[in-house]
Amino acid sequence: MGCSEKNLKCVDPMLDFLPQNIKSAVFAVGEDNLREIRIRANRKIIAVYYSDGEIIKKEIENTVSGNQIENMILKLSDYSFASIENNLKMGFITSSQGERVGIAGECVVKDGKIVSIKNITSLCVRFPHCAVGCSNFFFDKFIVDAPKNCLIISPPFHGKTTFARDLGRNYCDKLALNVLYLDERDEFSGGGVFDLGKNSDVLRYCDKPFGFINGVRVLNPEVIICDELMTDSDVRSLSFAANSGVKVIATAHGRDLSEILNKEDTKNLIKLKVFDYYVVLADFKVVQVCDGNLKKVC
Amino acid sequence: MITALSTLIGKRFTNKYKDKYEFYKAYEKFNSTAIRNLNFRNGGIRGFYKDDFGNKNFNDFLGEIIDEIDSEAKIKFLPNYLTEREKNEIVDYFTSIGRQNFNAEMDLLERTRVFLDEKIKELKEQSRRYSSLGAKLGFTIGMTTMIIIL
Repeated sequence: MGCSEKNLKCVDPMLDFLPQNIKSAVFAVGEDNLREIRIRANRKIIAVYYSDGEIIKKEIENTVSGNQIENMILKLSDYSFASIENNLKMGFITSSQGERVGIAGECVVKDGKIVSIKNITSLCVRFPHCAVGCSNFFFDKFIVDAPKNCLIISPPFHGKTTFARDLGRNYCDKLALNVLYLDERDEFSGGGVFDLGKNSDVLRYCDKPFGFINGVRVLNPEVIICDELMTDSDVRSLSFAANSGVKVIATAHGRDLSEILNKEDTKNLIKLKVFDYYVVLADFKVVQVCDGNLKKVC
Repeated sequence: MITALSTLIGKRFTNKYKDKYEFYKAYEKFNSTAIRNLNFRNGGIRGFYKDDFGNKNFNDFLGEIIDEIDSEAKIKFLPNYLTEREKNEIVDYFTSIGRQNFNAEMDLLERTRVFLDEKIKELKEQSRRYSSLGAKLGFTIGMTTMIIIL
């Protein structure tokens, strides 16, 4: 069920912030199947790609220095660190092509809060993917003409964000609903690269409590979509929105529903009985659908 | 003819003061643009490197260094009418800009603004004084040469 690997398209990675020799070496691995690049100071670069249903890691011979990593950040920031201060606090930068670059280095703490990261030594570059139509099967069978609250469950790299984005697009285009994306890390919109639907609004780089509460108050959404529910605060915010009559699509890390039920942070999601459907994904495919009473329906 | 030629040569010899003044005016315009950007949009600054700041030498310099991270390489794109010290100051600025947090960046830009205000006043005065002097000296030498020949 869902999309095959053929439908899954990696948005053309530009990687303009990489030195040319490294960019060429990375693309030689196979740019269509790239999932992630790991760049660490004074170590070989590692490319993670998808092949025949497997995640494969390959070392690339090039190494980069700490200085080169700083220059990459400078290019990512369009030559202005000041413009990405907020992103540095959150530990990531999104490139103009939608690539999300996670940062590791030395945290700068002031008054007990992290205000920046300096002496950056590692970058984790993840590539956005789109798969238009990957939620069509689920939408046509279970949603049809009335929006439902859905929780999308899968391990990392298995398509939760891609599926949630496409489901939101279906809600927008087929049901003509106002859909608000809470895009904490710019993964849904990819800096404007992805089609989110004609009635969509996006709140980028905001946390979920602000997004849910202010979104409901001032943007009048009929559906809110968010990624990676993890904390009690996330769960409370979602509950506020659902109790306000707004439909919610959310994602959570887990191999299956039982893993969500056993985790301390996420079992409350189930207890709230907010969701009408629990959709479990593996390898970008829907492998199980359960209703609000946890009964398997597909 | 000799007088005209020597007047031109004299003027040309002192044109560097006017060229330097125009260069620094463009530099000041760039710095002002950076301050406005930081105060209002707080976006990236790479796009500014392709803007026109009213002086060809300055615009050409920006075009050459747009992707040049290495400061030693930047210095070779600066015009020769700048002194070594002036070149190093400019390279330091373009190596530092964009690499700090908001407060430090604003501090750098404001200090540069104050420095450039003074520098431009000084260069304007020099340009006024030496430009006319060059033409007059050239004319005088030309006339003297003519008289000697005659």
